Amino acid sequence: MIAFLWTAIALTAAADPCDSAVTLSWKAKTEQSTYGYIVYRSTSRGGPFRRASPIIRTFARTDEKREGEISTYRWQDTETANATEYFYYLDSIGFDGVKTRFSGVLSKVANCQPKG
Amino acid sequence: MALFGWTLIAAPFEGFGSGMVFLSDQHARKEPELYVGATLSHAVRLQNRSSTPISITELKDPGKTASVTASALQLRAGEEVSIAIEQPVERLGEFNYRYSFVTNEPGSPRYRFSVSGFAQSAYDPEKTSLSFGIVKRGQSNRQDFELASREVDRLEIISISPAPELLTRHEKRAGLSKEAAVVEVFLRDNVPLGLLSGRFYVTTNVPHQPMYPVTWHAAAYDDVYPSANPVSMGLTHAGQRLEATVALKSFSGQSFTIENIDTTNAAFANVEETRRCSNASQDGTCWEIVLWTASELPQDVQGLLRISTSLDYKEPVPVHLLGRFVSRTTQIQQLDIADTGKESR
Repeated sequence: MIAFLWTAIALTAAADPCDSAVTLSWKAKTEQSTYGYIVYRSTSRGGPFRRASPIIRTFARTDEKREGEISTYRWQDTETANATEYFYYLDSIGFDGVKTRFSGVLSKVANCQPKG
Repeated sequence: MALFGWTLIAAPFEGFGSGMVFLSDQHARKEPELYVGATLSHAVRLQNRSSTPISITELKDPGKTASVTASALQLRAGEEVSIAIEQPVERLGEFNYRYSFVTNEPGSPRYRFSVSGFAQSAYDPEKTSLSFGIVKRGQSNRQDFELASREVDRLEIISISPAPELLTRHEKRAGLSKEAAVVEVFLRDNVPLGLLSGRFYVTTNVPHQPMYPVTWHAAAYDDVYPSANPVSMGLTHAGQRLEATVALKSFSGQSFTIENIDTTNAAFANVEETRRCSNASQDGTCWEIVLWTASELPQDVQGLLRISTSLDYKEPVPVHLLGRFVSRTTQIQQLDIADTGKESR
């Protein structure tokens, strides 16, 4: 059986310059037992957090993408209000359906920048 | 972006090419986000591509959890019928439900098809059992069951059903820690002695998975309780002997004696010895009963001992026994399972 080797390498956020959306990206080791990720959002660091994303499927493991290689994921939160600070964290969800905390809490202010 | 995959695999399993029934997967696409407790509806279309009538002689759901019905069992040449599946999804994570049918074609080919997917829980963490452990009857035994979901702003418990037969009442506190709600469950004071279990359903305001099944367990005794229940006597080859030792202790710490061991409902069990517990003070507050059984034939043995003591003589202590004798040719491997809680290699 494959061990739980996934690692949250980095969870970063960037405010989209056009529409207040917040884009989250993270890196994780390709891992056979992880089915996907779920993003949770709050307007307070201490929560309560609510589910913000559907299940974001892990990339299929192929011969080209071997166990332990690092994959980059991106998900855009479009349900944000301008000039509001949001807090996010990630769960991973295994093929057995069990959710496990995957990342720490990250904050980001959704700023709508006028198009240049 | 396609985040979720549903697959339908439909193919004659035996004698591919010889069967003349074509299975279509054109109706296989389902909602991508499926939650435990949902009922999956699906229809498979069959077409008789031969020039003669074909009959479905057997339609099977090996898991026996789904409703699988054919719109017709007779397929005229060229005719198309459908098989409707109503499959409750009760398993968390990846699932693959399989079904099959047999036709009266030469060789009676069996066609197999399956529906697979992924079921998630709207609750966090997923915990569907509630254990009271070993309890003393009549002591207002209570357990809290906490439910949390990040799918709603405030989790509310709408109802609990059916009224649990052995649970005296349940109360609810919603939104205790902003995310969680708590169900307080009390074991009735007058429950029967021994192993107890049941299931109730909590209905919440979580839209995707409003029904949350909770299975509960308890082992209730008066003053004297066994060290384990059921007592596993283990597994061995036919012709050999199974042994087990069960200890009896008192909740109140009183000394007692064992008055009678009734094996009427466990006739296979023999009492080798009744003795004071070796690792306890020899004051009669703990007793060990050494049991054995043997069988010349492979079989499962199970039964119920009823042990009367000087403290609980009116209602004997029930203790279930389980054991298994396997064929003399069966290889028994001793598994050494490390307590890692994660995996074995």
